Amino acid sequence: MVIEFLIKLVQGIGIGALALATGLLFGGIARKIMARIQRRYGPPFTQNFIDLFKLFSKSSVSHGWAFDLGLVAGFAPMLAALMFLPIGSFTLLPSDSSLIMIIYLMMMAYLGMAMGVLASGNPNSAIGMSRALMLMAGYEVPFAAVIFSVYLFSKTGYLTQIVAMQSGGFMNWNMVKMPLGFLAVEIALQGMLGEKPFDQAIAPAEIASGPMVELGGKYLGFGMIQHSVGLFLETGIVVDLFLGGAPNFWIFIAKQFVLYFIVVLVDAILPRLRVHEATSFFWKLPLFLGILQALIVIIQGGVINV
Amino acid sequence: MDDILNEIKAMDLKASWLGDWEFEVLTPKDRLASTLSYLKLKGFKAFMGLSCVDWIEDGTFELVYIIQSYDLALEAIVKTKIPRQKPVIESMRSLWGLCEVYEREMHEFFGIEFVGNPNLKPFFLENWLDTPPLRKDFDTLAFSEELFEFKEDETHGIKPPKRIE
Amino acid sequence: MSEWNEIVDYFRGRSMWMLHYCTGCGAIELPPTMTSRWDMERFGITPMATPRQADILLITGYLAIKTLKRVVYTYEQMQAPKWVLGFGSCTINGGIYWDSYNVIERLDKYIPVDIYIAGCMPRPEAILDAFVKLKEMVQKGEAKGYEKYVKNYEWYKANQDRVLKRTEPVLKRIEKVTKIG
Repeated sequence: MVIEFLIKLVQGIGIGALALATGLLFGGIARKIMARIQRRYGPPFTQNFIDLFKLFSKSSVSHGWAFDLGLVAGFAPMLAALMFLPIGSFTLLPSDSSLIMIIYLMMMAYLGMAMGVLASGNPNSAIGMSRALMLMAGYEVPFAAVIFSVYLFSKTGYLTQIVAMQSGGFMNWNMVKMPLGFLAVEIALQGMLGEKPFDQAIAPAEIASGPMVELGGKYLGFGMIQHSVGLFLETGIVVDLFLGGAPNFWIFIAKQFVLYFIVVLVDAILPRLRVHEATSFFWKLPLFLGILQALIVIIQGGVINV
Repeated sequence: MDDILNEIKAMDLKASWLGDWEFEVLTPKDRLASTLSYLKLKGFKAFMGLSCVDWIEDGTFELVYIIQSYDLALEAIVKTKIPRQKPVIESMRSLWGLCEVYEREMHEFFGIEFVGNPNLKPFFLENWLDTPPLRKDFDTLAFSEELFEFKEDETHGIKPPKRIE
Repeated sequence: MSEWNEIVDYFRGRSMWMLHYCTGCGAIELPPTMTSRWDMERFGITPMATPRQADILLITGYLAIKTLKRVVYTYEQMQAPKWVLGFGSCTINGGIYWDSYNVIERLDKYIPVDIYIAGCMPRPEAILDAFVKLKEMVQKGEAKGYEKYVKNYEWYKANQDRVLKRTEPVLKRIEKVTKIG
């Protein structure tokens, strides 16, 4: 029993490290892609690892216990959600309700982060956090509608089972079976990752990088870890829901990268919207697509007889 | 066009054209308010700015009020001289509210007292205790050398530039 | 332990985040330095939004007494290790404002400057040259301006107070001296 627990613990730490490394690598490659789009040479793709190392070698200043605790409370749910996510063919903690669990924990992460950055007392971080939460109210609604239709379609909240139902070729993927829902999630993913046109929360020239304004040194390094793990988690859940999961880890991160690549390309060409424009956009097109998809699933699946 | 100028001249004030759309009026200190309010009644409703010239050899400050009329497409420059020793003049903030800010600036940089302006606190300068800096008798080089202690630096070989006389 | 420090210094030199304090005309040289013509991101240098996140403080142009106060606040908010680049002749000897009553002459009397970039204006090549030079200095462990500031804090503080917290007219001081002399 104890040995089993220890093995799980080591595996959990391993998954966390792997997610961090993948997220940092994705970030570095994204910077390179962005540079090439802008006809620059760009930093080396390992730049994010160097940045993280440098940040942890700097001195740092805390803004009270709520600040420290908030950052931990923002990171812990993300790490916990990672444990329920099927990565390749491996899931650390298989659970009947892993889908709902992950959605819940992802929202908890934002609330923890809000507590932390608001404790710093900087007005810019308060503005940034209020924007992030307002944007979350925007993209979570279409996302929830699509989760609902996936739930109805698969008749289970067990992610491993949802992945298993999509096995057997491209035509079985939920992306093909529910194209409208996939489109809605793809737009919501742009907002979830905070890339343009939905980067209101961390607008550097406008509100001095918002929530991160008082993070310095090791704290900023911690924020960077959080962002990288979040990147892995949020692309990972879309891969599991719509792109049919993956038989092994390498195909899994390849599929994640395709998703992130699209996000980066959109990020490169669009300007920033204002926050109320972004939120009302999420409540129009993606929500419409999500609800339409749910209706189609309901009618097709014979949940209601028309 | 010319009738405004003639009316001003009829009031015993010196006035002359400076260009096609611009004229200047020289007025004594005690008739400044009446001249400006007369011009405002005639349509010069826009207050453009207030500046000051330090005529140190004459011992006077010359205050320059620039006002414009959109209807007549004219600019009027009203000039008045006040003694340098006792620079006191009444505030024009009842005519144009914007005057208050300009008067605050002139008070800070020339030390002119505007009677009736309650808001003459420091504007641009912080913690200023010397002569107002834009007066001609203020030695800015001596001030700079004394405060910033700029001397020839041996380690870097940087020399202070020579003053052009 | 010294090997570890060498590794740390190597990576610090490869990743320097910059806060640009643009008071004067020098700000206009930075957009070409950042964008595709000169591209400073290939050295790992990225502009940052706040002093807490930054490693380099790039001061472009003249500093009035009022802005000097803000620069000192900004510098003290930054997390060690931190470096200061003085940009343009205004930070070296006052530049064209050398006899102005309101513009400071030498920046490194108030905060420690690691590298000065001479010129009015320095071109983007000069800025990149300074960044590469700073990278070499950091990797050799030579750029220790922030330690100098802590060690000589009284001297820097006295210089700052002399300019920022005046209690009597400056020119009166001269008159007193000349009368005695």
